[in-house]
Amino acid sequence: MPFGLGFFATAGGSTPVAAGSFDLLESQVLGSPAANVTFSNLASSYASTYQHLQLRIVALHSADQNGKMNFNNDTGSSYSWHQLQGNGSSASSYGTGDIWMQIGYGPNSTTQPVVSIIDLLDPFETTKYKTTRVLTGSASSTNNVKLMSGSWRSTDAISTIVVAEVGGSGSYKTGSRFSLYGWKAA
Amino acid sequence: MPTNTYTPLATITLTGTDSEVVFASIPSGYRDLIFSISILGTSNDQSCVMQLNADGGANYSNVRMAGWGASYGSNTTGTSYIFVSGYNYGLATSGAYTIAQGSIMDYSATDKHKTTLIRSRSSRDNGDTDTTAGAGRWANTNAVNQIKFYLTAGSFAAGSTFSLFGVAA
Repeated sequence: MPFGLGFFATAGGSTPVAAGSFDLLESQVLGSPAANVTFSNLASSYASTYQHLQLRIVALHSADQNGKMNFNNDTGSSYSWHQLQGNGSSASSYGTGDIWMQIGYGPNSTTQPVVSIIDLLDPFETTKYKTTRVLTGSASSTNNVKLMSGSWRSTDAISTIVVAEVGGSGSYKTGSRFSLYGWKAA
Repeated sequence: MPTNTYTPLATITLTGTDSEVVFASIPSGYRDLIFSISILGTSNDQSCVMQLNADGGANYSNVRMAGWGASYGSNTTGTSYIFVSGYNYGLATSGAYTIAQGSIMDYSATDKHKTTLIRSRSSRDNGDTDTTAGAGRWANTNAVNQIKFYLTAGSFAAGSTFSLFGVAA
């Protein structure tokens, strides 16, 4: 039975999300290749209103490789990340300390993206280290689905997020999209 | 300037059995779609799957991982649909609903294939459960304007609910 969406069709049982509790803050869709994508001035812009952030990424990689993320341009050994991964053949677990947080493993492709939903919890709190939760995957030549977590061992409020491919010399392809959303504080 | 987002588009609660639930004429003005389902079936132990834009061809890919009890695994089965729920176990005919939530990312973009991220928990009548995370891909650059949910066998039972949300672009 089809339900057309020319109007809001409801059949009971659903409580709408409160208007304005989850807001689109910024979005970048690449019109040309870019080695990295940066979101800046986050604490000054959003700390007074938002409790948590969510980054939604649809990335077209330049090589079969992972993506990475760092905060406040900190490229020191301040991070840890962990993953539970399925590659289509087996499930495995891995964790490490690092100079970034790893996100999203995807293929070299102009049409097959790796997608990631990254929750940054309490990013503006100055009493705790920063933690992330990631769901990411690519049903492609680099088959993988991952549940990931990350930690940035700093109590600084997050002011800058930089996302790039791990390979260093690669650039995200045209059409890659990076959207930042905020969850409002009560 | 922040933009209000996460807009409910439609919610359907079945009052009887139905072999499929279709969201049609999906507007293109959002960035991602998010769906949530809570389902029972008329046949025990079936998987819920979805097709986009009425494409029933072998144009889909899946990669999933799951845990059930002390066991776990990963596979890539399924080429004519995207798996929504049910890896080692399917769904129940009464009692514990199988639940799933997923995103269809960049659903209206016409320069890339459509990719999904889905998490689910499946329950059988005897209480067996599995929890699954999966990524799916529809190898088509067309914008998504229709989503069809159905079961690998049997029908959805009354009380099953399906919700669709749009996330702002």
